Amino acid sequence: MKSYDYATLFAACPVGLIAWNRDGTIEDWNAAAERIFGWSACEAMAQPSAQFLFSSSLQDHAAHPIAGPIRESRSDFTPSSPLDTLDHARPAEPETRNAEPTPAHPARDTTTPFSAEIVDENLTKDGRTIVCEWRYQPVSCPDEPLVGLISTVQDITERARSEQSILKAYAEIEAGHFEIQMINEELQNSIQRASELTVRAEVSAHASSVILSSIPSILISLDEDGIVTAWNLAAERMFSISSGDIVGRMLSDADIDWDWPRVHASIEQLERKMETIRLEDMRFTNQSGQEIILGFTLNPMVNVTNGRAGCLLLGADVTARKRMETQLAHAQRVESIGHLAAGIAHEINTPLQYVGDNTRFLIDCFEDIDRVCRCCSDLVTSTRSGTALSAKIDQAEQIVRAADLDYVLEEAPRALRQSLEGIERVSGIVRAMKEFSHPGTSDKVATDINHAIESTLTVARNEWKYVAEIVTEFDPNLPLVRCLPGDFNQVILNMVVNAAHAIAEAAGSSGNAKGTITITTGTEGPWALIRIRDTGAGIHPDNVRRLFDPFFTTKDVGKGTGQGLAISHSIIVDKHAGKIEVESAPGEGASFSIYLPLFAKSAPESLAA
Amino acid sequence: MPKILFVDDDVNVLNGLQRMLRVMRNEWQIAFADNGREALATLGREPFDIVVTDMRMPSMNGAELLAEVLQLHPQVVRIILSGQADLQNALAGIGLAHQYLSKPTEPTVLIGVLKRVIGLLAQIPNPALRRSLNSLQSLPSAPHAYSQLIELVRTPGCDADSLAEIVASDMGLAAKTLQTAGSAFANSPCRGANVWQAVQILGPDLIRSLAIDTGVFTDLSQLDGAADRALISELLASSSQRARCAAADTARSEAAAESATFELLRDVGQVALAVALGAEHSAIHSACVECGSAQADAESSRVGVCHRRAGSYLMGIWGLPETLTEAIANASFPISSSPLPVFNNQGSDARHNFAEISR
Repeated sequence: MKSYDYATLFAACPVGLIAWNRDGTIEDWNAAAERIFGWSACEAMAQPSAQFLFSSSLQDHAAHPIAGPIRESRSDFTPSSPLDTLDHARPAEPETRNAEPTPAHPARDTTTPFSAEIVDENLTKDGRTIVCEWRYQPVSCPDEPLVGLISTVQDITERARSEQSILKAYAEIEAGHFEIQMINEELQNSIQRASELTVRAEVSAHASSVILSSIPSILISLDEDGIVTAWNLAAERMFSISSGDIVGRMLSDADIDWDWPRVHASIEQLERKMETIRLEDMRFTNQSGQEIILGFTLNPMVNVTNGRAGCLLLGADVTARKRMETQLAHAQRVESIGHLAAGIAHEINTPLQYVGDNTRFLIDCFEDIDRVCRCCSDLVTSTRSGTALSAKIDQAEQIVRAADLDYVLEEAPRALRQSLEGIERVSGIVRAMKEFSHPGTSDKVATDINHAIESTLTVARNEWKYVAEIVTEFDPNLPLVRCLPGDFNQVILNMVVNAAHAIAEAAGSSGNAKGTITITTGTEGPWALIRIRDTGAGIHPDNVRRLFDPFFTTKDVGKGTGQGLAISHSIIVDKHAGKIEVESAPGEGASFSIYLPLFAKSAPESLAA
Repeated sequence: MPKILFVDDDVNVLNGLQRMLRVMRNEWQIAFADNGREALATLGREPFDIVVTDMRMPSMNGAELLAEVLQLHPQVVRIILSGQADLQNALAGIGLAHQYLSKPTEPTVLIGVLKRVIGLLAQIPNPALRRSLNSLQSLPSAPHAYSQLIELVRTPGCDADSLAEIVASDMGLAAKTLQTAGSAFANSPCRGANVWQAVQILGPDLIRSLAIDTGVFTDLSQLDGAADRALISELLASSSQRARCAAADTARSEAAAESATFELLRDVGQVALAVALGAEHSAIHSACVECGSAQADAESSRVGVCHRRAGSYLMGIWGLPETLTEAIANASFPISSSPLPVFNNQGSDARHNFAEISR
């Protein structure tokens, strides 16, 4: 590798890189490490030991690779200690094979280069405790077996928290409260910042390859002609191509089963724009035939001599995350349908009650009418035959009076009408349910947005009818919009339920006055616009920013999972290339505008810069 | 003529009820209100016997309405007729209502429930006693049984069998559990007079919600007023003892379980009167103990009803099965199929003819 490669790599590396001396002091400290811990390189290198990074004494972390050097610098250090992991790391010394193994330590095999992976709690300069994932690699020279350690460090506090939430969420799935979305954009974000930073260290080519192999992400660097100049361990494992076989050749020579045109297009775009490019959702089939989804960031590496750009590709396997996201979106839908089901049952049970009551009434009426008819015909017969007339008339009068015919004749048609009304209501709800859930549609179809909103409002009626009136201002000329109807309905449902909750919140528990939810549809330039306004509590400006974050909720426990808007955002923005805008002020309600492209392409957009 | 007030925000439901109840037009007087405030105004104008209300209504829901009714008109029997499928919302009403029906309820069932309540009301002519009994939301439980239950429902993964053992050892817990399990509140309402089955039908989650969130069970030591706690405690202990004997007597058969359930509730009227009448009841009780006269006669002459009728009445308006309320009125459980011994309460009370009491 050329030296500028190392310099760019060291600075651009999104992962913290720290070089340790054999005595446990820091020799090098990159910008990502500075971002993680808050200490600048100068400050970190001035520290007498590594202790400042650790929340508990390193002596407690006997198996920690740094513990060795620390011990060595202390009087109680015993080189024969089995816990002195650096001794284990010396591949040249055969007696270490006999050393007593420490079960907690991952690196036992002295025949392979020593490496260790440790998750630890660490301290930042401002005193926060963070969770970091460390990987250690020994650095050796031909004349000295061990000159120090290179470690990579990643702040996984968020991830650790997410993982905990996921575990919790899985536990809650059965209870119907499935909630989660993985967020992991650290890599991409830090890359952008990293590319602006300068390099200040010079390290041997040997050390740079150590760094390369210890980075957990796939790292491939290409020079300006598209020749592979670096191919790390993670890349070797992922693509089953050894670096020896590919370094020095064109990337396109690599036998990788993926969407090559997309890869080339991205690299071309990088050269043209000279800025970081994200390549999401790269599907790739590995040697054992599994489909893996990769996410890449492409960073330009400018060759100062000719001003042309090479390319640094950093990639990660996001299959598990993607799978999780799909499950989450599905789970949120199942959850909201489950919740709706209770409301729908109420909507259906009420008409069923009065349809049943009216029918019972009509049966009773017919029994009375039957009696009246019989006595009338009896009366006719006896009038014709001229027998016992006055007694018959008295009896008939009595039966007619008991039958209360005036009431029956007035009420029976009403009972029939209201029963029909009830049956229509039930069938309307059942029809809307079918339209709402849209079973079997996984492709975008031309959809009547106005009708879709109507159906969703019907299904969700029980969610809003006690707190709000709904005003619909639909544009009758709105063209059909290509969308995923089930997903679109889900978004409208989330918005309407949120609006109803906001109104209920504003009204408080005593609230008598109902609020209003106004739903407007129309077109605006190339967009179909759906606007949902409510007269609810409004959103605090501090919260507007975080509104679409997963898990963000201001509702009480049990009222919301914090997933609704995050998933709505993902549906509109990611799946439909649309946008969502929010306007709100506390106490003045909120207005959500959903924009969907009127002329959506049938294929999903392939590149997102 | 008995008077019933129906409350529902859906006018179509009220119209339907009015038409359906036309067959009863010569026996009952019915009135309607389409919201809680109007219902309270109507109740303020004239006395009613029964209120039947919807649960979800704008501005004042069924639970809020019934809480007001309990405060202002405690003599009224409170019934919920709800289309609610959401348990969390329904829970709010279960502690306040005597019975919980779900929409759609068949006309014959609704008329049957109302007829039964009206028949029972006729047994308690004393308005003060009716007020006291109708405002009982629960019966006290023995403190140790109550705390055992609370502790168990707080234990994650507690099972229904252990819960049933606790509930079946205490009159207060059993009565409220049977009431809830028999209502439409339960997914598959319990029609039998079997407390073990009632616990299984409700399940641990629902019992946990009832015990902790709604607080439908009460502890004797929390009982305020002039009630004779020592006497109640004694009654609870003896009912628990008899129930244990009945349950252990034969191998867990349906009949044994029903017999034990009856034994638990046999003295429910004594406890109810002790709580409802307070000092007056202790006076009756001690007078009887002193002069050896029949307690039932003393109760009848002082408050117009004996404890067995009071117990059968209360369990009746709570909607417990008629076999059980008849047995409470008779102080004997009619078991024809199994040769189980009948546990008579010290053999002091002569067997009443049920027909004589309830008609």
